[in-house]
Amino acid sequence: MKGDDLPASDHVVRYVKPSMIREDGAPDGSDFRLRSSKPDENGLSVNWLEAFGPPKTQQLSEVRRLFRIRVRPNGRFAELQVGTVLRAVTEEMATLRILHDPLEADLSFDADPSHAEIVGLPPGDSDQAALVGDLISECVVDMHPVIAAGSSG
Amino acid sequence: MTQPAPSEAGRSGAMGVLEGLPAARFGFVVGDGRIGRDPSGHPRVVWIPRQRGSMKRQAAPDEREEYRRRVSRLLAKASERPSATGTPPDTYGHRISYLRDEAEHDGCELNEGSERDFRRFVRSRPYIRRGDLVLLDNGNLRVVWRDEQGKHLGLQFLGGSMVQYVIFNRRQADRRISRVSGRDSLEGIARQIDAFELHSLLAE
Repeated sequence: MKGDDLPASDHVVRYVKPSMIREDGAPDGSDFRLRSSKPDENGLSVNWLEAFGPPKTQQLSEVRRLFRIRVRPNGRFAELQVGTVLRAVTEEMATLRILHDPLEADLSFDADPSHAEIVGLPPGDSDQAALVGDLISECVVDMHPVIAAGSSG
Repeated sequence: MTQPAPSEAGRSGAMGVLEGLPAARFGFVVGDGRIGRDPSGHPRVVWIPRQRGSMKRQAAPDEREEYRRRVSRLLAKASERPSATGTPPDTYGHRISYLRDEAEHDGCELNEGSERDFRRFVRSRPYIRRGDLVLLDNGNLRVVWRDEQGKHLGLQFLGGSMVQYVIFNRRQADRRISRVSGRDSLEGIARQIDAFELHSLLAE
């Protein structure tokens, strides 16, 4: 339900654009900050994999199908476990939560029941945001192609 | 910016002629692009129309973009090689070129002040190992070094000789990780590296 905390054992993915991906393929922590260019932004968009039935390939396929942001083919989805992120960040700040935020269908898009947000982050250009972003990036468990293998995009 | 020699303007040169040339020698005309230097002194490709008699050929935007990317990649690769003159290789040239392309694709620009400070920092420490360089939404460069012991140094070059740092350091005494972040001048960062004993993290 909208506003619920996601279960600690579940997983989310976040789109990482190519310029934020390190040469070893992992995302830089700067991707896990609020953007100072968007002061109205309250949270980071993520997609909850367990909103869809297993296996993971199917869950990712649904995320790709419903994703609303234009992606670059060399971007990636960074996968995080909810509980791991919360535990890691709690050592520095206690306000972080990962909340379900399903998107309703509109004229252009199907409904997206997997949409969620990481909220309670510090202001994007703050020094604390830099530290928390690096902490979250260390929790990434996997990186997935934005476009499935064999897909024409 | 040098003006192209009339006899060279419009020549369809093979891109291979750029291979191995040190950056200092760029400044001639190849194909439809002129290679000059941008305000920060780095080689960039400037498009010029090809002249055939009295006709000027205007290339399609995607053709210009592809040409610019190809030459930029070659310039960057060439700049990463040690030169015969003993100039140190630019170990980040290719990566910065890639990030610059990405920035343009995203509709933003690489902050030249950030790049200048990053290069100044790297030049001041010629024996540090290569870090992971990324480009932030605000156009600033950020470089990160980390090791398997949990040490971590992240530096965002803000421009104006200022740096935002993130340091994770495992204390010898109790093996706990201490974490700090803040801002300092380029010179001050050197003191932070000393204070947190991060030299092993940066060493090649």
